[in-house]
Amino acid sequence: MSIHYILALNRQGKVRISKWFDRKISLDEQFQVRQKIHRLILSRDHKNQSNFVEFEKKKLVYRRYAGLFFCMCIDMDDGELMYLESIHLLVEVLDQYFNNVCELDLVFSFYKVYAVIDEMFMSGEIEETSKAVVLDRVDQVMAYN
Amino acid sequence: MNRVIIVGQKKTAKIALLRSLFEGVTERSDGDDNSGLILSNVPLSTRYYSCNLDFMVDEYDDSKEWEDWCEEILSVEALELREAINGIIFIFDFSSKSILQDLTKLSKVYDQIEQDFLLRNKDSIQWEGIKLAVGFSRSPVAQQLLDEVYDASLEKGIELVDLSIASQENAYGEATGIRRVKEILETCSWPDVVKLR
Repeated sequence: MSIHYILALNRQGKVRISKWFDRKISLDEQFQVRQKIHRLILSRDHKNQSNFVEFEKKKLVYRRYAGLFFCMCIDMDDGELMYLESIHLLVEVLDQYFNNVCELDLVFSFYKVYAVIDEMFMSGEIEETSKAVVLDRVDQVMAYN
Repeated sequence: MNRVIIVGQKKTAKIALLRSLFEGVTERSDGDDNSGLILSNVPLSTRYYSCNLDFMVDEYDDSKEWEDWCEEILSVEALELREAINGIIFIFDFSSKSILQDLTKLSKVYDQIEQDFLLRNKDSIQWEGIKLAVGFSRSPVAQQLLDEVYDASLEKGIELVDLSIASQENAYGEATGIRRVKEILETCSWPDVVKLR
């Protein structure tokens, strides 16, 4: 498995996106992981330290956007730069879809956010990297609602 | 009902904070005795919803009274109050000598509220209420003190907003100061809202 989970946390440690691909992680462990990641990432020096950190025998790849920390957990032998770029692509797609996305959109239009994630990532793998294709598919899905 | 407790030592700009967040809040000032004051139906609206907030203002004189306040709100008798509120905003002066101890007591209150919430709502992953500490200062604050307070609040899962700096944006282009407090209020999942189309 490549991506074990995708999380987006705000500065208070509140979870705004939580997508778990690894079914071996129980609900209690998920709760622990969120708290540990919040403390780990917010205590880092984001200007002088890298976007990659070892976490529980895996790697955390994270990036900060407007007070939100988007994190992906990947295996130790996975290429972190690729996943760093996929986080950026995800944020760009959300930004285009919501026309200047902010935390409010993640909270109150969470179903649209997860529709975007489901188009881009499947079973822990990157499925689609074309912004136009993702946006087109999400529009089609939302049209059914 | 959407209820927030705003608590701090006497003369710590609680009313001034509310006035800068919301227009026409009150004619009271921080010089008055505001303990027990309730500001009802303060309107808040975003592009997704509109709602009214009730702010319950409380004050204490010194660290001992703060400890008593925390003990009271942690008691079994205060369970109903803990269940009813949607957040606590703690306001402090950076010149206070007991900030770190005060934050520790505050974090115990937040932990208890979250624990009570998760017991009642087994499907939830977190309490959506506001865990916010707002610091201000009438004189420049030493960087070391700022770092210590920031680290302490981070460790306890409390967001710290520093009103002592004039800038409304940090080095990452994120909102700080009053703008950040407003953002936190807007992104809270209030239980009683009118959703907008």
